[in-house]
Amino acid sequence: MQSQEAAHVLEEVERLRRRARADLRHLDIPLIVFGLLMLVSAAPASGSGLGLAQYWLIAAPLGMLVTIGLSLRLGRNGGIVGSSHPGIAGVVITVAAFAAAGAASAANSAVAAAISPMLAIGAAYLILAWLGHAPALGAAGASLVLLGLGLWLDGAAAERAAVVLAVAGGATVLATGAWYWHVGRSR
Amino acid sequence: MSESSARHPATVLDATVHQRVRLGILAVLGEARRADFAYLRDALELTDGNLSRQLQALEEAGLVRIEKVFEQRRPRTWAALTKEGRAALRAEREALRDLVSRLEGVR
Repeated sequence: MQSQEAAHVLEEVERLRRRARADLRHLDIPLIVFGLLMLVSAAPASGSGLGLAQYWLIAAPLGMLVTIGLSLRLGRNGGIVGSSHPGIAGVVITVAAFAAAGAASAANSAVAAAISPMLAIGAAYLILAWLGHAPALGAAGASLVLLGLGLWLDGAAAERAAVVLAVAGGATVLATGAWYWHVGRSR
Repeated sequence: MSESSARHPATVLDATVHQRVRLGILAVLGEARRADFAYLRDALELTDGNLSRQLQALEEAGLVRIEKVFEQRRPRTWAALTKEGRAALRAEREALRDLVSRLEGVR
């Protein structure tokens, strides 16, 4: 076998592996689901109806269930089903991030309570981006974390910080999800 | 052992795996828990008959596990890599990389 032929076969194998990995990664789903949930959280954040903490107590598990259900369904319909490890990692990371954020906000100020859910989602996205080599997901996570920390350091009022994060963060996450969805469809 | 007497990487290539299409099938399945017939056919740009033959050869060699099921009253064929298939894919990729680096070193 010639070197050029072997190199060509290896290149083809890598191309197929990349395609399979891309088809398995439905990053658009968690981004669109949680982007929408963040935008909706502007209502409880501004003080109408449910409190923000109660909202996320319901919305976060619901978002995870919808994400897992849609991902499984898309995998089956698309003809390629991946390992369940990334999904389990996603759930564990998100739950851990929310637990940490909840503990921090319980011990601290109203601002901490207002921005900690977004910080938790941002941190979860950052870890998942690192695990899944997904730079756009990492950028969305970093934007959320920076925005949250910026508002915290700025000393913004709790209500204003929560609303700004819900709208700006939700729009950023939703836009990233739409971008992944578009890339996935045009492939 | 001298360089010339060392085992040449081309001798390590597995005859069953070392076929462009079969290696392609293993490469796709190596990334997934399972993939269906239509996905493999489209990803590898094969005809139904060709893919069937290659899958059968891989199944007979114990590298791939085939499962035929009915989903919503339609037949569907899923393929998954066995432990042996995963090892064979890894060995083949290593042998190919060895071969490329060895021949590039000669240049």
